[in-house]
Amino acid sequence: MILFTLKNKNLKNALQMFAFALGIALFGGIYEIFSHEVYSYFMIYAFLVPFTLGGMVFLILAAKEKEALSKWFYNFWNSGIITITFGMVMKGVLEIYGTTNAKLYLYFVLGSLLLLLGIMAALPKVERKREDELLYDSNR
Amino acid sequence: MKKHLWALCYSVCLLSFTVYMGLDTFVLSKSYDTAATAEDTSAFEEESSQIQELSSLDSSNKSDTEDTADDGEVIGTYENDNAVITVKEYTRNDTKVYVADVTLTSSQYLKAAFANDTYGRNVKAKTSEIASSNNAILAINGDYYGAQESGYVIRNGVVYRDSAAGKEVLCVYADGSMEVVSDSDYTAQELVDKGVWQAFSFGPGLVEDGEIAVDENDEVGKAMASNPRTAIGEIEDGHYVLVVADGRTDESEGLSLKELASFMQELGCETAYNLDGGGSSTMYFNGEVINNPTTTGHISERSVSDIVYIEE
Repeated sequence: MILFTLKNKNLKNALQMFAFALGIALFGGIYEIFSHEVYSYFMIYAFLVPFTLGGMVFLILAAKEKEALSKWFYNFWNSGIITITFGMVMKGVLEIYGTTNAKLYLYFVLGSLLLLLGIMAALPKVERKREDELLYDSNR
Repeated sequence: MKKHLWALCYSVCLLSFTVYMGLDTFVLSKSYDTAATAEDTSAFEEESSQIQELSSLDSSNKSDTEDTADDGEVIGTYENDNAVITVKEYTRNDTKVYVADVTLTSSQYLKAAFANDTYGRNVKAKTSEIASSNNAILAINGDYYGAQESGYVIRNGVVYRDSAAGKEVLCVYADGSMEVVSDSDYTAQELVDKGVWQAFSFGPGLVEDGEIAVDENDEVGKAMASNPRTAIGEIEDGHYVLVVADGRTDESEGLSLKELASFMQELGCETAYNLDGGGSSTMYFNGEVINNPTTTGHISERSVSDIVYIEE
């Protein structure tokens, strides 16, 4: 049985990300109401980034990992999610207005890079845990 | 504090970049050509025989829209040596539609102008201001090229932007004809060499070869509803209609692209093309704005990059 407490950093992060996703969904919904029925899928689905990459990932981590991962994992991962989400919302705003900006790709490149750095920051601890488990098995 | 230093610093950077993006897209002006009033009329010299033919079409063309859509109320007329203009108001689909029926002796008199005579990004002025400064008797908003980073901009025979956007382009030729082409099929210079006098990049094409070219699912910028619209169409060589539909008000709902295309076909257009709509949709005639442009829910004129006009 898995017991969650708010002392679990992953669960805390998951809840924060779900709240962020809700905020983005509300923002997108309100923006669409005032956009004269001009729709942008980027705006409508921007909330899915923090929902899946944030909330769901942290929820899985909370279920599997009692201990927090490296602080740099959280810094990079959260920043990557927020950057990509901002990029999606900005793309939605531009689409609804009917314009473009060549620099928009920077959100997605930087966001992806931060997510990658987050994974790299998490790997040493995951590897160490796996080694500990193997050592424990072999000693038994 | 130290614990949240990364989050704080990164948030400030991200918000700063987002503010910059907003300013760069919507506010900061970039002028690429500050005296963009040049005209290249060489295509008309090559087409001189064709142009003489157009001048004899005036009286027959004038009756075309009357034959096909005869319920419009005449709200103004104008005539000079080069142009005969009749402006009518129609009601279609709970929408007020303003139609300027224009017959020209040459398409050379179907002109375009930039805001502040400047080609650039975020260089904007109201349609009425641009029209007034160019001594226009009739004007409508153009394709708002300044909101896009690509898409051909050919005005008065001069190429200002030659980057294709994978879009349908409306070409107005020196021989008075109009055609919708894909910008992936021609370079901008090839179009000028073919005799293109004006090229607009917005779209889509509404009517091609007299047939409606859009269906209910074709929309601009995912605008799937009734909205203010601006369109231009050709009935015959040298005989055009400039159309503006009001929308987003209790008095005038606005048109979908399909409805607009049907109306252009009803007017007798062989070719018709959708220009920038929404808050930009403005028609100026004889010194005043004759429609009701809507900007953020209010009746007021929005600034645009460019206009299409007939000189007084």
